Amino acid sequence: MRGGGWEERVGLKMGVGGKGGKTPLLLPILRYGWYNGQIMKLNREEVLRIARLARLGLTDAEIDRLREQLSDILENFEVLQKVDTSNVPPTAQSIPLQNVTRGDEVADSLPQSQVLANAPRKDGEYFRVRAVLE
Amino acid sequence: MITNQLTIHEAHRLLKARQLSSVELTKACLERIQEVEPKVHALVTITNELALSQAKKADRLIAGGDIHPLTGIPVVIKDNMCTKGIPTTCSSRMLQNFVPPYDATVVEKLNNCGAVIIGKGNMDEFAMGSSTEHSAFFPTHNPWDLSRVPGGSSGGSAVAVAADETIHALGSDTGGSIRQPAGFCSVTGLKPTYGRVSRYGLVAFASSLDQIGPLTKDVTDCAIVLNAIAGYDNKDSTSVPYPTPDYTQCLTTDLNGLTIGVPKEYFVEGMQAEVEVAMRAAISKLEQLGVRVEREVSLPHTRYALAAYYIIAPSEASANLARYDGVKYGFSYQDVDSMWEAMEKTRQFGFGDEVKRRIMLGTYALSAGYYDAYYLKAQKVRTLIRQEFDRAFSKFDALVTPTSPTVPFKIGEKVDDPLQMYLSDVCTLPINIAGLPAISIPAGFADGLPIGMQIIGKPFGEETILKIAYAYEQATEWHKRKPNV
Repeated sequence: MRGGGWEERVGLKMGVGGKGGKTPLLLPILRYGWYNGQIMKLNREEVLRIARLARLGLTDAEIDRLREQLSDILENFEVLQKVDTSNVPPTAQSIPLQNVTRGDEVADSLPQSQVLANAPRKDGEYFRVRAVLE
Repeated sequence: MITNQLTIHEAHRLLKARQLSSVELTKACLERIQEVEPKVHALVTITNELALSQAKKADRLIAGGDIHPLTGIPVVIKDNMCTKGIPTTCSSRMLQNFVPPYDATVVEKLNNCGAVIIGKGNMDEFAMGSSTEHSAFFPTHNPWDLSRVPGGSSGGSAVAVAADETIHALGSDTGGSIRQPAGFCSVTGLKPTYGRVSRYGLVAFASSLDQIGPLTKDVTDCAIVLNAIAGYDNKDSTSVPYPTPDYTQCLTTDLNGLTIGVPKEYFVEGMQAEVEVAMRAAISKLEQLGVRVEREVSLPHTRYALAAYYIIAPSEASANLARYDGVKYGFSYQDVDSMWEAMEKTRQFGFGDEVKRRIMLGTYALSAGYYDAYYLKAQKVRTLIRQEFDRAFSKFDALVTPTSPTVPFKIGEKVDDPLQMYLSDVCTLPINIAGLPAISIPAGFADGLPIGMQIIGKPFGEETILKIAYAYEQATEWHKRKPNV
């Protein structure tokens, strides 16, 4: 995982600089995540790319702060790469329920007026939206 | 007798004997709210009129001989549970003006018992946080020391109970959000097994981890509330169709034959010394009560739980919060024509810092090229953590740990340092990862600041942890202490 090209593959680039300004910590357990004093940083383009995927507007100050904070967090979370998970299936949820279905029965639903009551913009019986196609 | 300090079972006895009316009880709580709310800021909404009308209705029910243990009992609902006709804000600008058209199943169940809703509890925005400082409206203050946080995210609910503004409260717990504030405020808080309580009408944060539970003044009350809210609900496909026992029946002080494990990874280097001392004393007390204690249990994957949690929870959150687009409900930015720009601005101004941070973190972990390295990896680690708990529970009836590695911290101390904040859930979040039930009960004080003990049970083993908690509580006085506020 640590080998050549990995940083590019996960979009991280390596930087240097001790533990970094904000690195912790109350508890030493996260230290397993540190790479010999090297710090990985997300770059600005990467932050913008994620923000766009999330449809989240950000100010320049927020971009800078998130770049620092997310880099710090992700770097600490590299601890997971130390765990051998070969042949371990993923867990999506913790209870033994699968394929829950219900009977196809007609039941009351909310009246339209109540469904629309919180709409920021409406037009008669409809939610009003901006043009999707330009 | 100070009426608003009563527990549910004490108030119920008086209501049933007609020595107290629900209106009197409700007014006592509302007066207390007037008195202390300016100091603690636990409530986002105070539902005076609704509460008094529900109290009058409860008194009529009681007069007719129709009384459930929660009839006429005031309750605070965390502000991420839908209450029909009452604003449900999630302490977010995004939902500041949102008025749900329906009740969450837990709210409907309480209403069917004749409960009295007196307010909505402040919280970290969308339940993301450990101090209630991430509320978009105001931080909540710990009644034991107003300069300190109450924990979070159910900080408002915990404080309302600790400061006797209410008789009990509901909270939600995704990584410790009931138990950690219960510990910080010296009240009792239970996170049931995932699937035990319906999540219908709980505003979704991380759907595979979220669970609703009670915050109460003692363990008996906790069992009473769990009786009322537990059970299968066809509106929540993750609620389990198992029968619900009467949880008050398990409350005995005979612990002989029970074995508990004390996992050493929860007593990490760097934890506050007073917390460790209090925990060692509490565990010795359990031993005196007849429990067999195994002190050298190891759950080595615990150290990976925090990282796994803070990938899984934000990933689920980033998907769940995609619904806030400014179209159907909630805040909506209007001053642009472009759909995408409107959406981006809606989310920019509607969400606070921590929510944005988690959306970004989750979106990153789920995005193409990173999914395997982060999200899938975390889900696999989740399997290992679950398996480790399974193995432990083949030997032990319960596990005992501190609820948090420290006593309540100062307001402002960690709010700009996300990793430090995340660490305050380090003892509670592994339990959500595994979907287990766990309770936090008062277990001591350090310089007047509360210390909580966490008792973790097998899946659907709420009875065992309630029993251990009850026996400990009956043998100690911690839960009777009141903050001077």
